[in-house]
Amino acid sequence: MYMFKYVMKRLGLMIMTFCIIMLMCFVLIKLLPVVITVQQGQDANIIVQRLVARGYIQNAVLNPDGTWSYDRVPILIQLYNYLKRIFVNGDFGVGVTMPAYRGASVIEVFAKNLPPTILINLYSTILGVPIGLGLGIFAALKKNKWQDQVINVIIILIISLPSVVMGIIIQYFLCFKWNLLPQIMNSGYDYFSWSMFKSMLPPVLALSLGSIAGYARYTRAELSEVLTNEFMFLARTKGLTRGQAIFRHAMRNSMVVIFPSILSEFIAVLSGSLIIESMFSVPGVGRLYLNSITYQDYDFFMLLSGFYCLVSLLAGIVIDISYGFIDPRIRMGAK
Amino acid sequence: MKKLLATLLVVSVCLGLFAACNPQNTEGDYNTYRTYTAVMPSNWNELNYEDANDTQILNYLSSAFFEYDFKFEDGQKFTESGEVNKDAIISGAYTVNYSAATKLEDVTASVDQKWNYDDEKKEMGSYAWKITLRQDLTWDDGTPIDATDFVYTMQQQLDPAFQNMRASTYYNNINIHGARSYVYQGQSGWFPADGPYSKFEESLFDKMIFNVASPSENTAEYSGTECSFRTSFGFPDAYGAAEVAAYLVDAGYVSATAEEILALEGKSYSQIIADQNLKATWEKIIGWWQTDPDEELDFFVTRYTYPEYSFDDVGFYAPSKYELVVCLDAPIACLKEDGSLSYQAAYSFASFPLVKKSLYESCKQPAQEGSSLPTTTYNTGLETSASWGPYKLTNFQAGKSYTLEKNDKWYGYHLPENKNQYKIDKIHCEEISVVNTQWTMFLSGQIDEIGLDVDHKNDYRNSKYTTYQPGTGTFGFNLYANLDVLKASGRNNGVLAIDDFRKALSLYLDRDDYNATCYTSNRACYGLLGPSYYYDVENGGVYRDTQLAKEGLLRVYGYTEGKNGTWTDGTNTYGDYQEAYDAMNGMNRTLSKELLADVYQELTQNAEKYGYDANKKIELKVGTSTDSEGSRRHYNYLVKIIGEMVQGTPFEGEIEVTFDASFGAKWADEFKSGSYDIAMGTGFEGGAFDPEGFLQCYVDPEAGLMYSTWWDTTKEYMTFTMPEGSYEGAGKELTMSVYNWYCCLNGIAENRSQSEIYNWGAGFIPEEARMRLLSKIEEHVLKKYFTLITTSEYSATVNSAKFTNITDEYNIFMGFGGIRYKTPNYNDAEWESFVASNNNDLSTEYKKSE
Repeated sequence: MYMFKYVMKRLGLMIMTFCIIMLMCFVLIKLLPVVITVQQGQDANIIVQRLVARGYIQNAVLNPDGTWSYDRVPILIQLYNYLKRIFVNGDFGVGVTMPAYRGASVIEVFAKNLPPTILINLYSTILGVPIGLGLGIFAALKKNKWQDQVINVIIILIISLPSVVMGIIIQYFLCFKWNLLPQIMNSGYDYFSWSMFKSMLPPVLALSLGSIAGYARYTRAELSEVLTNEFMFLARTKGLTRGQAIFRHAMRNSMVVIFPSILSEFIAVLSGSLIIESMFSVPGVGRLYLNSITYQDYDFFMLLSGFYCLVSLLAGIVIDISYGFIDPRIRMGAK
Repeated sequence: MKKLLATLLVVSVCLGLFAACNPQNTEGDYNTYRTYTAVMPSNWNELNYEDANDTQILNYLSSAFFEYDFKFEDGQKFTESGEVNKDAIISGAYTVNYSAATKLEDVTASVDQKWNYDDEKKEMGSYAWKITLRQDLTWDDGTPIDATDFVYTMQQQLDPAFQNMRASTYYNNINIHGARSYVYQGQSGWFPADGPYSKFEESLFDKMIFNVASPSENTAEYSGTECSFRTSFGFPDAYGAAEVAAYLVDAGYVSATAEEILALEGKSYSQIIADQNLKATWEKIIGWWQTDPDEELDFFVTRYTYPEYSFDDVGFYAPSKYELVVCLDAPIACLKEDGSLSYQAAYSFASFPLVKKSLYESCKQPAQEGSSLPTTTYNTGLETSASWGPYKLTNFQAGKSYTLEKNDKWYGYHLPENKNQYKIDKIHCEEISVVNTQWTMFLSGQIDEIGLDVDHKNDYRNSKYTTYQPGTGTFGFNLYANLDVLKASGRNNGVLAIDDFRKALSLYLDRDDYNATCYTSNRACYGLLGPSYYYDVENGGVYRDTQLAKEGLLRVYGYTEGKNGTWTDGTNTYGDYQEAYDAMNGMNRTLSKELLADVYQELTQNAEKYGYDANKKIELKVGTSTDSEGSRRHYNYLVKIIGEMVQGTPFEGEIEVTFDASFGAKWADEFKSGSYDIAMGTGFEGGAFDPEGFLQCYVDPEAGLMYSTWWDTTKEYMTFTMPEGSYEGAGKELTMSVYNWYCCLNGIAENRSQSEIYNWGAGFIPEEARMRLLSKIEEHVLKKYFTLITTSEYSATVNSAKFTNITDEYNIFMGFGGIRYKTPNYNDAEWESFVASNNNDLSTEYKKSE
């Protein structure tokens, strides 16, 4: 019951926080000046009339110095129209200024671009967690022996390299020089075909190597500490084998710290890696969010802000609740 | 057990990796051209596309009524075996041929009276054209196309509800009668009263507001509109209503007080005549001013709403199923005297927009909540695309890739002149934005062309696979020079308003060194127009190669003509203009330093005028949109040059050049407003065959492109004697505003209501005469030194060994032949083998110079 109340309370707070953040996002992006850019062959009047007709600006005036001034349509009116559009018509809008998505349905583009990002990060987690944990456990068990030293050196080397450098190395050797993997991700939506999987491997490797090193470092540190606790001696004296003691007691205790880090890393990479996506031509959401701000594409910005805000808030709750499952001694909401 | 698990894990990972590795799929004997783009196109709707990037698909989905082709010796396009006779291509030459049209007739003399062509225009011709279409035009699904489809499309193009981006093409570039009125119908705005009205009549009395205030004073209430009286008199913006009133009184023009004149401000004409005092003042004013009827309008501004306009009154209609008539306000000479097609036919009349009616209607989207702008999804995706061109879209993934394949319903494949061309079956394009990825893809044979960049230029600049292509873009620095704004900037930078200071900077720039330092393949440029502009297209006349254009530049860069045709830069004397031009590099550093000494004297002696504070340093703020390696490179170069320039002059240690990258996407507007002083890399690209039209970027305030917005070209006067000939105005010495000269040169003076109206558009007077006027205007603009041109655009492309261009010599009309003339050396399967035989790395091959 405590747990239920706790979860409900957190959900309530989450919705409130979400609304405040979204309101701030809407107001802030709308506060940016609307850029009126006229290119050769274009009629400035048409550019301005389009902005007026879209309900962004009003009273546009051509100044003597050739620039335009205008009044912004009151932001609250724009907000009302935006909310009405979403809740009454289910219309999230269309792209307006982002070059690759002008006129495209925002929600459709988002739905099409999300799977590659999720899959690449999922594969990278699937690859990274067992290897990272495995290396960390092995290093902890061989603490201060040569195996530990070797693993530590590799970890430091990998952690020191940004994923973009890792991407370049993978692309140059695995894809270009040795022709083992495709250089860019395949086109199409058949995400679960073998060919598509292959084409996702380079970005997966580029992303997962960093994760592997991170998990290994965490695991080694936590496990090393837990292994020196007194209850481990107790477990051994109870008659458990070393393996049993490690997997049943040491691992579970160290997971209290490690598991949330896995979850939060997955959430973090869900936003996509701008550079890795660009490097391997992954049509993911990483670039969308950044470009939506650069180009002031309001509808894209609001949808993506909403998505990431929601994911982050939900992740916070899930991580908090997960403590209780990993360690029964932790009871959320109990007094 | 542990060992077993560990072994299994390692083996499974290795197997996964190696099983994933196998060669790329092959598509047999297909000829696929694979390319890349940094940004995917998203809207190839001909009516509404936003930028050149969108045309990369559009160009393949549409056809042309008239098109350019290479010119072949003796007309022998094909060899005996039927292949294109590439050895017979005449360098730099072209032909214009019918393609989707079969006939073009000048019908100016025979069209309906409602198009208002008087006898003079009928005699001159080239205003109304009848195009006869082929009868086998179809969409890619076989749906037939006729003239009514083009008329429907033009109506959609100009539909005021949609405010389509490309509508302006048909009233700014090609002046179709009524097109602008149709688009603008229902829009409101403030105008000088004699703009929309020509008669001073009672129905207007309530609508006309007396107003002699400046544009700045009028910004809020009247959208910055200025009455015609002010324009005629040439009052500067600094002269507000109070100054104008005082001037009229002090000069003795009007026997009233300034207060009495100002009392009329903001009153309608009805209000003025209803009040005895106001009426008395008004009569004094108009009594002095009026010499012709209706000149009362000159003192008023009015809010005007464009009236409703019927599409029946737009000069674009279909008199029969396969005939299209286009009626223009400004003539275009599409036929030569012998009746053959002129270059203008393929340039201005290449095609008119075409959408597939049923699909277009189904793609219309109503305006969203809070918006009144309906939209369309036509030509934004695979399902909403239609083609009447040589290729059709067969795959499209937004933000990722697209594929075009041959459209077997295209009429052009059956034309004898297209035999053994279009050998590429498929065009596949991937979005690859990272340069490293582009290069590894290219070097492993997975894309078939790549732009040469700074990092690779040393390796591939001399490759036999590299082609160089001159562009029409010219770029440089823009200097802010509006003294009122400079004085208020707080940067102590009024010196920029002194012409000789800007000239000194221009003369100190080493343009060769600047381009070598800051660009990959661009080259030094000295004029507004680069080397790719043709003043006489029919005869291959390159503007920059003419004597007049060269002499103009010599004068701009400090050379003077001496006796017997000699030229001197003050140090050296040259035998003729060509010798001087060959030696010219845009620099005259001695003169530059001399000018600076004079400028310093002018500045210090008139410190108040220029807002100069001798105790403060002069700050020249360089502005840009983003802080990048590239923008820093340009900035650092400028800092170096200005530093060297002022050494040994009174300005030494007095000038500080600062960098501000905070302007983002508003950088252009911010420069025009004077937020910073120097804009870098600014310039324009124009149509290679329309150098006269390109001047709009520098002298046409209506085009909205000018950076030097403070320069009022409608009041800047220029005197010039038009060359002798048999055309209106020939041999006359005329004085008119720079803008008026530009309008006459482009045949739009009547359309733009200019005081001097001559039609000197392309095809109506000798090209030599047009070129002379062009060079005069270019020189005039350059001598203002608001724009310091430094760079002419050149691009370098490394081409794949998979295909061969039909020619290695760039042709301004045909490029290197394009997709139409590319010849495959390997089909897809053979190419796969070739790349494999080179160990998947073609860098050695591509570095070969022979």
